[in-house]
Amino acid sequence: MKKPRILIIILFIFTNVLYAEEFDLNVYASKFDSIPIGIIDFSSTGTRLKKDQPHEIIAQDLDFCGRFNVVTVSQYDSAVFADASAGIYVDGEYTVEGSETVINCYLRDVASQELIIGKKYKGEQNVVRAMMHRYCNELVEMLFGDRGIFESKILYVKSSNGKRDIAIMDFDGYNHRQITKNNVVNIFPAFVTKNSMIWTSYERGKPDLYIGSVADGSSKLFIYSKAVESSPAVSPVDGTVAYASSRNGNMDVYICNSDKTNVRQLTVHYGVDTSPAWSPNGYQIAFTSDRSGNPQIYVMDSDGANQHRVTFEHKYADSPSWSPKGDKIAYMAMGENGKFDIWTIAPDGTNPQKVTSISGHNEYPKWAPDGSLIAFVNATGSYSDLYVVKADGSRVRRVTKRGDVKMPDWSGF
Amino acid sequence: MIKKRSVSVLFFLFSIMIVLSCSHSLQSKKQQSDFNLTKSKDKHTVVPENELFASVDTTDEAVFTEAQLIESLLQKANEVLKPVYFEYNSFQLDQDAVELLVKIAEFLKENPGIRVLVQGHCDERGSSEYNMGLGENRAKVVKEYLINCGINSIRVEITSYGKEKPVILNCNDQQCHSKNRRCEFVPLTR
Repeated sequence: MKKPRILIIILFIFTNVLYAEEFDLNVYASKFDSIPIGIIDFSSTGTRLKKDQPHEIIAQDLDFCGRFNVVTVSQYDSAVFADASAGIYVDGEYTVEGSETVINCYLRDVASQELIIGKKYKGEQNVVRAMMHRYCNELVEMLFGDRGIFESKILYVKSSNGKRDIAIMDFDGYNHRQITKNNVVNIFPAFVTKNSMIWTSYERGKPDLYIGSVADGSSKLFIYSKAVESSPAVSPVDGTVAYASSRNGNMDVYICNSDKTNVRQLTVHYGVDTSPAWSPNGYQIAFTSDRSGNPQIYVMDSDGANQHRVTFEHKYADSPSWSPKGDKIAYMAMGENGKFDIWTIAPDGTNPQKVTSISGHNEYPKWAPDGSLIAFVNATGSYSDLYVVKADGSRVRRVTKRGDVKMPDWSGF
Repeated sequence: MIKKRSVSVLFFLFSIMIVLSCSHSLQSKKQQSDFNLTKSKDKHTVVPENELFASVDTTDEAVFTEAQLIESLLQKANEVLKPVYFEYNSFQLDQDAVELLVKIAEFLKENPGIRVLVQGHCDERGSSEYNMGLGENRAKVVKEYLINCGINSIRVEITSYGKEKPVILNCNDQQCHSKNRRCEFVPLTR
């Protein structure tokens, strides 16, 4: 059922450039930390879409990513735009014809109301969100020259009534879909590619690593033994898999090639070594070890050399995630009151910074593919939901209201 | 370091005490046991242990499948195979745990066909990744204890569920957390 939809997106989203660029977007973008941008309600000819108005999706996306200051208005309003220092705005119109929707999006200069660049999208009604995500990606590319996160996905553990299954959603919390349906515990999901994942499943009555399809959950055993095989992480460079295994008596960090050959044990210690996280260049691995008495973040080379402790501020630090730019490691740490929060630290152990402070436990940090945001799980009472925050601690946004989200992993672009 | 060493010395002495207490109480029970496998001179004919467990898969391919026990045995198993509890962030056996494990060892001796899977569990604090290791360490000390009591290691498998299968969800107090820090016993097929 899902396959045709993907085909539709690929086949029927056409992007037409309607006008050439005159306004210098890069100069405008470079003036601000968060770019002010106006979004005007789209008009429609004929039937109106029942939900998901294009301008709402654009406003949500741009606000979500933390790189914009979004001002929404129902029609052009120079005073409101001036107040927000907005030099550009988006307006547009759409037509619904049968099952097909055609959307025109125009980026304009506030001062002259002249068109800077226009884009046209055509697709089935059920891909309106996907089409507007694509538009926002193109906007980001025009303004910043790098890629947007609006077509990325998040794997997570759907955790309810003691059950644990792998599920997936769009970056913004829409389109949830449960992937595993095998009635055993499924945890630690990690993207291999955007269409495949590796995770820990108890199909054999114990935890092993499986690789499977994100589309239908079909899976095959990857790394298995009589011991605990857990916490897989895939190198963004060559697909090398790092994981935690107790096959040699206690839990240590191992790596193997993407075809599961060439298994190498990187840590040899009687303490628990787990939770490996790759540096973006694949040269180093951050991990958790309790060799000092309680869990702390360590960093080593990808051949196991130069193992050294990075966190000293906390009595408990765990779940490292390396930023895509390589300059920070996000992790969760326990404060004096037993509450967990997200922190970041430079890989050399300098400059530890607390990122979250909202109530409840804030756990499982994972960086967005562009490094602009950190996703994390906020656990309060019986609810655990996904949030995002900028690395400087600003702009906390709640992404899900399901109450059952744990252990997220953010895909590539 | 000094502190750590003295703790481990204490732990070592404690372990010896445990083993002694274990072997002592088992000795006194041996006479009444109908299925004493360790004494071949027994008047009862018993299937030797190596034959009993000959078909057990000891390789990495092994699948842990829960055994369906017969009614009478199931009742006894449910009575005896109770969870062993642990302190916060600890995998040491306390006095209660030891007393329970002595009974479990006796039960396993009396029922020589039974294999068990020891599942280590943790309370819901801390990360899932780290708790996988902690849960396994709990299962490991339980297995080691049973082996010290004379149970063949082929009869005791271990695994960890970390904090993924709490008995009570969303605990807010110590009493509640303590119910989740445990090892559970599941009868396994041979």
